[in-house]
Amino acid sequence: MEYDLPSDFDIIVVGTGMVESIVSAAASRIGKRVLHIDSNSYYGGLWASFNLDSISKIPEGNRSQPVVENKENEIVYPVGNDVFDLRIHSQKWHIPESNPEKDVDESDSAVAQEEHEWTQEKLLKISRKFNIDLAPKLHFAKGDFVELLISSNIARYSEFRSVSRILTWLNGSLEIVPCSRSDVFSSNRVSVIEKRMLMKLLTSCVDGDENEFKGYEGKTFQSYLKDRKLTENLIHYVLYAIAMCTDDTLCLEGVEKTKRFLGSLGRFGKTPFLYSMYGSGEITQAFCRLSAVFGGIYALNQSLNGFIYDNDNTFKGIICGKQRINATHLVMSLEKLPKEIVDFSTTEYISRAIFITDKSILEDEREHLTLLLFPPVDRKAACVVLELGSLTGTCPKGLHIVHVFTKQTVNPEDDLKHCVEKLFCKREGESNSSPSILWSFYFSAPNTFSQKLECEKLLNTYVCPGPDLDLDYDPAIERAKEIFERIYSNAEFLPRAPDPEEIIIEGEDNNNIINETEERAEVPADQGDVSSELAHEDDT
Amino acid sequence: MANRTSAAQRPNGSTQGKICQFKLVLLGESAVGKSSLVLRFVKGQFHEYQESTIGAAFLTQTVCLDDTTVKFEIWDTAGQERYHSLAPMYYRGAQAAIVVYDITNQDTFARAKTWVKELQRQASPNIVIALAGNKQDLANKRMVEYEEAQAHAEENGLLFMETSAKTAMNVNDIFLAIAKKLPKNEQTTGPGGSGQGRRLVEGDSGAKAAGNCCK
Repeated sequence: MEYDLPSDFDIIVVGTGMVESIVSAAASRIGKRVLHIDSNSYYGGLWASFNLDSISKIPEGNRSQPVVENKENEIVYPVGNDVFDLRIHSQKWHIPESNPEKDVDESDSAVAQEEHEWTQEKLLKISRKFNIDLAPKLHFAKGDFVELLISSNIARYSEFRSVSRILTWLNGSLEIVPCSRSDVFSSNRVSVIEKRMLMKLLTSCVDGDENEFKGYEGKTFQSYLKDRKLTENLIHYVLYAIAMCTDDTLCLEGVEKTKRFLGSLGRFGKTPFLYSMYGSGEITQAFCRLSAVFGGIYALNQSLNGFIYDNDNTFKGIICGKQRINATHLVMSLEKLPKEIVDFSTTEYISRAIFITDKSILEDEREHLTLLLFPPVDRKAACVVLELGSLTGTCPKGLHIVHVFTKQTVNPEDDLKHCVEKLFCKREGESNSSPSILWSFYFSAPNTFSQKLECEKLLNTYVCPGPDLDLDYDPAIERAKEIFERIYSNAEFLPRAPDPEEIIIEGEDNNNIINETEERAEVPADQGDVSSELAHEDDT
Repeated sequence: MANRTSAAQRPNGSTQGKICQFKLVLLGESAVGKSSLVLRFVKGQFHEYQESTIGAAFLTQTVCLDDTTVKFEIWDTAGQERYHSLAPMYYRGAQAAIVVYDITNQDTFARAKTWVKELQRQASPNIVIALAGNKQDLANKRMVEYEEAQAHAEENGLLFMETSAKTAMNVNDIFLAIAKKLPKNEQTTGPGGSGQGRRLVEGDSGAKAAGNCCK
């Protein structure tokens, strides 16, 4: 379809990843004219979720390799780099393509109910019931992210599920981590004496005065736990599961992490964590929606052909298709950065695996949403395992999606092998109590949060990192806020959006109420802030 | 936010009966009159609220049927459809949808059919879909025949009406027809539907189900 976008904005946001989407929402919210575009046909960039069919086709990168053009008074930089692409290591089926003996033309519910022999054909047929995250995230119930969602009123767009149990790997088997008071007391894995010790320790981590940790400034959290005479098992629970630390984590950091965990208990459900229904990719869309509600213009699937700068390297505009669009500020995701100015000396990677499995890693009467914190062993880093069932809206009934990830040291297969081998059947067709892997996907994703992303060379230009290893979105929010405050230093960051009941009168949509207006006007330019809209008279 | 409306505010003053809340989305090409239909519905007949889409995620409107109060949470596209960039989260978990086209524009009808297909594939399985041929007041410029649209609706199990947001023709009726067709028992939605997840609300310390019947 042929159309032109408006050609003048306060800010252009390129890419619909998490950080970009938060900045877009925040700018729109204070009345700035925002153009938010993406060269992909989907929302989320490296933070997106895909159905089964489309994840098998995700491009490893978006390449166009034109060169820097020097025009009179202006420089046009090409868009995109291949430095921060996903690196796909393998994507494999572990089930037959089809089952010729059976009639495959069954309805979805029949597929879910029957005692099934899963085939590739069957799974692909219900491909859209899958929402597979490239960067799965959990949310601390009292963390920065949840607080921001609530304070900005974005929370109403999304639905969440509580993580229903937290597991760890201890003495060769999966154990439920007792994380709340009632868990601790009902656990039969913890002796009465241990219960008292654990409660006492958790209490002193939360309420402990400075003296409690005196002398531990340079020491590890593990040494503190040992000095408190905790048993081996308790140290394991606290160190690896509750605090999510390594043996080397310093005491005060361990205490902070314990507090982060305990502080989120009891707000929404049994564990401190929430997961966004239909996948983590929904979250970027919620921020984009807020941006649109406040007048942000959205255009996916755009061919971006260049970033325009003047001779002083000040941002002027972009070339989108054949159109030139001007703006004062440019915010972009790092994979859209011109190759010429990327500093990629220190890119770290995250090793990720995604599996579709036929049952839970720890079967129970009801479906669980499980977080397994797999401890570090033999110089292998700790792995995070997230198992999602059909109640999360990310996979069909009877199946699970399992995400496994860790900091990359070698490659995804090698980094995760020790953990994967313990949880799943080793060979195809082997039947024991472990779940079988029906489909597997190993890839590396860049972790760019620790990377320097200032482009000092280019003025009025701000770069957003991709997904990191944090369980929650805290670092993304912090980065978005930083960018927002550098652009609009005195403005409020995502103040609460009004509820429908609080908005009395419409302004801009008036021409839409009467059908004589043939087309929706080219809206964006004159959308003031909401407070001025509220003052208009209702003339319908 | 979900349960803000107290029973006392309801038009008939009744405090009896159950209240059901449903998410309803509007889909269709730009300029077919989606927002107009909603504003006519919300402001035309039921005057307890005066709301707007500006800066709001959605509008709410309540319809009373015999012993049941149906509260619609009506989501606006926020203009994201203009450049074909509507976020899928918009229609996730919706229990009802009105797919709107303009009877004076054949392209918008073709686009409406595409939206119906998308909803049938991607939205919750029990979604109630209504097809609205809007701008009926411009029937002298009609490009989409009533019978053609009706046949398409019948084939696909959709409710169908021609409407005019301008004259208010069939506007309330189409929402009422949807309200009647929506299942109003406790467990209305299957897996993948709304009402299963948790909405986060300020000061909330427990579960708060969204979307399904709350009383």
